[in-house]
Amino acid sequence: MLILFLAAGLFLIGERHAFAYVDPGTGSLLYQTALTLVLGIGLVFRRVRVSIVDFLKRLGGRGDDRG
Amino acid sequence: MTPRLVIAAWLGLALAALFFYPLAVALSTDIYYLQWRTADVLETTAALAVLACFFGIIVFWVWPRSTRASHAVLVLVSAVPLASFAAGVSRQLPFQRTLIAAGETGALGTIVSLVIATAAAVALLAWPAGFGRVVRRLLLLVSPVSLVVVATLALSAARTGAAVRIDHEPADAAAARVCAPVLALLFDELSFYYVYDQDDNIRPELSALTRFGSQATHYLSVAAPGRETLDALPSFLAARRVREIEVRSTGLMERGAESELLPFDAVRPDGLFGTARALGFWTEVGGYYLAYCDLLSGVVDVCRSRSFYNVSSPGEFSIADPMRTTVVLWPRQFPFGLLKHPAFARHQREMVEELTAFARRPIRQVPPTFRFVHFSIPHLPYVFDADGYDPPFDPLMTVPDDEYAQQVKYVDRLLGELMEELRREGVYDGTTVVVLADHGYRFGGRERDPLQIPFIVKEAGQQRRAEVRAEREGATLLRDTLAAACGSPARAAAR
Repeated sequence: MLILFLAAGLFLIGERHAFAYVDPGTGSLLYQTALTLVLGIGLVFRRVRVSIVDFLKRLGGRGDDRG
Repeated sequence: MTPRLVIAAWLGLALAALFFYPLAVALSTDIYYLQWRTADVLETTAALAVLACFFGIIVFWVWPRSTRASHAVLVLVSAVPLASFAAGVSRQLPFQRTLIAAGETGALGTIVSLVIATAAAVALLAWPAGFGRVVRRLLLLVSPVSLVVVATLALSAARTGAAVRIDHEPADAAAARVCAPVLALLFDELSFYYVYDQDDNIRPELSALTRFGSQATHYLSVAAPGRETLDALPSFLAARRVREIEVRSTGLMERGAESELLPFDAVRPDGLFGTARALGFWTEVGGYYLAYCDLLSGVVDVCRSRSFYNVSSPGEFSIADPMRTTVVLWPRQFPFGLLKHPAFARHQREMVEELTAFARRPIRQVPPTFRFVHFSIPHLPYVFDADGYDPPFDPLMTVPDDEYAQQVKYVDRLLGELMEELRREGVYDGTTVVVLADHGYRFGGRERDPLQIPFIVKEAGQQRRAEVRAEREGATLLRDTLAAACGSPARAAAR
């Protein structure tokens, strides 16, 4: 979860450049807000949270296998 | 205990951040209008921290409980932050105009609010456990929005630096006086047709304007430089008609002849203040809405600038200010208006008081003062009547025009007080006083042409009324008045 938050935080800080084509007056903050709501879904639904954690664990596990 | 503490801290921050979401939106898209300074960042950070602690303590107490009372408390403390968040989101939506139109439909906003409140109350009473679960999930769902708010606030720190105050000392106090001091009082949205009757006489109920006008020149056909303040004021500053102004985070941009955007330059030698400087004036400007001190840095000696939305006063640290600013940024429709109206009304009063105090400063004779004051009245919010500050329930109601007419009466009273002050100081006769507007009333009523503005000039020493019916451009007329105050032929002709 911590990784998710850190990743989201870093992504948000860099958002201004990523969405540079969006007119500043048309709600770029809205996109950031929508993205964080996706993050919020992870907080609300345990199944989503568990799936993400499992996925990350599997990723970690594969790495260990290779090593 | 630790997870409970983490949840309380996280949701406490989330609720505080949700409340400040409209401010974050303004910082992201309209920071120019806020005249944002480092002190504002510090105030907002402190306010965010205090609110986060407040909400965090409540969440810590209610989160593990599943009683009706705990659910009710959670709903009550969440209601304002969630509503504020919704207001901020709605402001960014592409169908914002439709939402505003729906909100303007008097009963609709009230009915929707009542339905939501009733549904919440019924759900709380009938299904307390389920309702509590839904509220908790909703809070968790929106809680990461705090990251956006905190990041926006942090990024805004790099975009501070708006100058809101300039104070220079006169360099050459021994210089010979060559011009009469000039005091230009621009009243935002003061309508020609609310000042004059059909015979071009000042309306009898405006006694101070009538007295002032009896020894002044009335320019009866002056074109406003623009339909909106945003275009009109830069035109006065540039002393030419500016086609169109767009606001960017870096400042004002002017639409060029081939529709290209160019940085707006208010300090050119042929502009209002460039001319004033060249004529030897000691230059002072006080106003709201535009970032005057930034725009005119280098050509003004004294400046005071206020934002129309940011209520924070320079030199005063208050964590209540960012909260009031957030409320001012809310929509005016019900139920938001219930909190917005008093906050906005108070801000209007403070702006008028500060600008009045600025207009009342002693007028220098050597070097002669050119003081330009842009008042935020009779523009809305309408919070005055002829007797002073007396805000109505809805100070943003523009139709019917009764409240606007009251603001015009207050302008009359304010002008009377300012002129009386000049008389007491013994400088009234020797000072050129200009009363003007940027555009007329935009909401109907008695208005016949919002692009015709009142422009009244009492020149130094002028004893009788004069009229000029020839068409004049407002944008250049103020600069011409400055030249006339320095003894040009126009001055003699007007007497």
